[in-house]
This record gives sequence, C-alpha cells and structure tokens, in this order.
Amino acid sequence: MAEAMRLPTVTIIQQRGGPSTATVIYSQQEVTLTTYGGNGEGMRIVYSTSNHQELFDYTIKAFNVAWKYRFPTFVLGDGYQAKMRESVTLYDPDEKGVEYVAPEAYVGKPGTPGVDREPGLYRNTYNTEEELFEVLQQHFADFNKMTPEIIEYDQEATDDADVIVIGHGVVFRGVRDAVKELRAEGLKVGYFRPITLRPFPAEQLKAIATGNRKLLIAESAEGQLAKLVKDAIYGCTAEIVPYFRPGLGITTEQIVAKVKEVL
Amino acid sequence: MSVSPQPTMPKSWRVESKPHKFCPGCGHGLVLKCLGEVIDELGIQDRVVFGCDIGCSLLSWDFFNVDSVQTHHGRTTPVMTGIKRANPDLICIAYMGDGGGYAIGVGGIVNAAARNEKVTVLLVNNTVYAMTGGQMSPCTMPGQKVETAPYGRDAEATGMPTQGPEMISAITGDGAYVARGSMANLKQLKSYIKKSLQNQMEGNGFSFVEALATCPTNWRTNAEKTWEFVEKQMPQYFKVGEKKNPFEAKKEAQQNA
Repeated sequence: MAEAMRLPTVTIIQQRGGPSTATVIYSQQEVTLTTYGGNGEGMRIVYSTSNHQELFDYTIKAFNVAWKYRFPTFVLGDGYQAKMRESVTLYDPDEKGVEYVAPEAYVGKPGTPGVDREPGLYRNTYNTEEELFEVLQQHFADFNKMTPEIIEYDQEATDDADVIVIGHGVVFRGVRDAVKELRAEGLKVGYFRPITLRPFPAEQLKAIATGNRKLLIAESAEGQLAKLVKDAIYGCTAEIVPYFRPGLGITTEQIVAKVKEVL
Repeated sequence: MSVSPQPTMPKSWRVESKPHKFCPGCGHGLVLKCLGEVIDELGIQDRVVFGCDIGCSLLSWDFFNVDSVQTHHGRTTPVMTGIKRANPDLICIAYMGDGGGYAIGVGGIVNAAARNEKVTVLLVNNTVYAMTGGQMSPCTMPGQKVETAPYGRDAEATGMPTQGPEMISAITGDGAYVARGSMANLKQLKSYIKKSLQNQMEGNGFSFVEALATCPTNWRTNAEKTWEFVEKQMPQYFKVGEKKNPFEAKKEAQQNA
C-alpha cells in the first residue's frame, strides 16, 4: 500500500534466520524480502547498516529520504545489530546541521474538499490495466531519476585488486578487516560494500567488475546479495565466487582464509 | 420556477464520480446516501476522512468530496485509527463489507473495539464476497446458496453467520455505540449512522454500525426477491436495532439521578 500510494514510511528490519520462525538469532536472509518482497513491482529504498552508529544515522536519513522521494524506506539491520552492545553517539540532528524535509498531511488539510480544494483521494486499486500502467511508469521514472542522488556504497583498494570481496551489513565489518589484513600481507585484495541495496550501486560495481578479477561475495544467506550483484553486473567479465553461510555469522578469519583459497 | 428533474444528491457527494459504479439494485448506494446526508446535516465535510476497504466497498474511493483513503483488504479500521490518533480533530469513517470486516479484517476491528478507539466503522453486510463473484462470506446464512456453497451454507461444516454488532458490543467499553440497521428501513439506518458519528465527535468511544444491504447480482434475485431477502430473511439471523447506546445510557443515568 505504501508503494502504491507513495507513502513516506520508514521500516526498520532486523533479520532473523528463516524460512518461517527458524532462529531469532541472526541472518542476512531477508535481503530479497526487504528489497523486492511484494506483489507487483513496488519501488523501495533499502539501507543496509553495519553498526549502531549507522543504525542511528541512517534512520534519521531514512525519514528525510522517505519524505523527499515518497517511496517506502527501509533500514536493514540484523539480529546481531539488534542485540549487541557497542558505543554509539546519539545526537540531536539539528545540532549536526541535518535539515529536515518538511512533512505534509495527506488528509485534513485546511478548507472544505470540493469547495475550497480538491479532496485527497488515495487508492491502490485501479479499474483498468492502462490506468495502472500509467501510474507505474511515473513510479519507475521517479525512481530512476532519484537513483543517482541517493545510492551509497563504500569501496577500497579495488584499483589493482585480483579479488574484490563484496559484503553488506554486519558482514562488511569482517570484510573490511580481512582486506586490511590481506593488504598488509601484500595481497592484492579490495572490497566493495553496497550501502543502498536498493537502488543498488550498479554502475559503480560494474566499473570494477572487469578483466579476470574475482568477486568474492560473502553473505549470511544462500545468495541473496549475489542475486543483486549478478543483476547489476550482467555482461561483465569478472568471475563470481560465492561464500554463502545462510543464517551464520562470518568472521574476519573466515574471509581471510577464503580469499587465500581463491587467490 | 424550474424544477430539477434530478433527485437531490447529498452535498458531500462528489458529482464528478456520479453515476456511481455499483451494480443496479446494490445496497451500497443507499447506505452511502444515508452517510452523505448525515455528513451534510452535521456540517462535517471539512473534517471527515473516509476510508474504504477492498471488495465492492472500494468503489467508493472517490464517492465523496472528502479526503478518502482506499486501504488494503481488512485494514481500513487500523488505517482510520492511525489517522484519528495522528489528528484527533478529524472524523474518521472506516467503510467495509462483511468479508473485509469479519474475516480478513476481524483482528483490526476487534482490537480497535477493545481499545474503544474513537472512530466510526460502517460495515455493509450483504452476506457474500460480492466483487469476486458471490463466494461464501462470514455472514452467509445457513442454507443460503452461494458460489462456493452451491448446496447452501452448511452450518455444521462452516459455522453460523458472524454476529458482528453483538460481538462488538460485548468487547467495547463504556461510551461505545453499536447498532445494526438495514436498507429496508433507511430512516432508522440513517439515524444510527448519525449517532455513530455524533458519538465519535463527542469522543465517547468506538462507534459501529452494520447495515444489511442487497446484492441482487450475486443473490441472483429479481427486484421483488431482493427486497424480500433483505427485509424478511436477513433479519432472521441479523437482529436490527441498537445494541449499545451511550446517549440512552446518559439519559437513563440522568433520570435515575
């Protein structure tokens, strides 16, 4: 409904193991659900955070982005981020100079509808196929226009890398430390971290998915991030190497070992 | 003096969306006429937010010149509750059918009622899922032949019709207004709808009106049989009247004082 009516909603998801009730501990198995899990083709914004500071920062950002672009916005964490303790600086967004996008009432604006103003008529059901088609074209166009303005990612040491490790969320912490360690050993390894899983930083990843490089995808799921990556880099020559551990955490040591195995 | 050949529409109706999209003989139009007249009489067109459900009731999404939200199936009560909480000055009306209200949306209604949320729910009971072709709904009557019960509803296998207002009156606290009206008695139905809105405006509690209504398309009835069904047969299971009335309770308390 939020997708259909362009309601500026913010949803915070902390991923658990699945399918069904499975575990309440941890996973990255709700990536597909969060980015694309709906009927029809609703457009969404999904930020994948990797620590408490980001959870705080991106929740503030999510409200602003949701109001600005009117797409449902998600902050995607996981069971570890939901339950662990670590330091975080809580701050008043005003003091940091964060500007709020002004919210707007959808209903109950001043004046009598039909007399002083048009009524707000919000629907998610259409009478004809053509009506829906037209509405969707506008959604897609708005989303595509917005994409370059909001995509976020992080990348390091990719220029000369033979292996680029791709990870998101809490797994990225292990990825970052592993790359640091491997570089210290003189190995040509870099990382790429999508922060917005949707829209996905496709052009940026495409630019480095070149030659006979290997893209090692580390995720606590059976290929949900990999699916987004494959879709983004279609046509590129880099080889995809999966490192899938559905519902399990991934440590720095495991990533280091895996990279050495494929180098 | 010229006489307009058109019957008078309530002022709050949206002329641009008329004629409306309901089938000939459908009860929705008359229920919505009552609602429109009540909105006019109470002078609340600038404060009403109208929420409609999925099913035939969704065809009312642009029925009024009031802010309107068409929600998910069964989610109209929670959406209206949310809007009311965000802006208590608004008068929120959740409009739905018996399928939306008593099956998929029963969780929303029961909990909003139990919390005595200050919204008005107007539920049109026509005993079938009408938009999808007349399948059995919670209010299909025993023996009534419908698309998914071609030999008639078997109460042993599928239960008895849901008694909505009776249930709502049992779980709401003081201040709730609960009634069942019928399009067979429009004057009475309109008075119930009016009280359900006044009750919300006074901030007393949850307000709920079920309206018995016709669906000749899915009942496969002619005009005479349609009227007989809503006037005679439906009240056998669905007793018309007020179940809970804070206005009466107040009067009684004053008399006893």
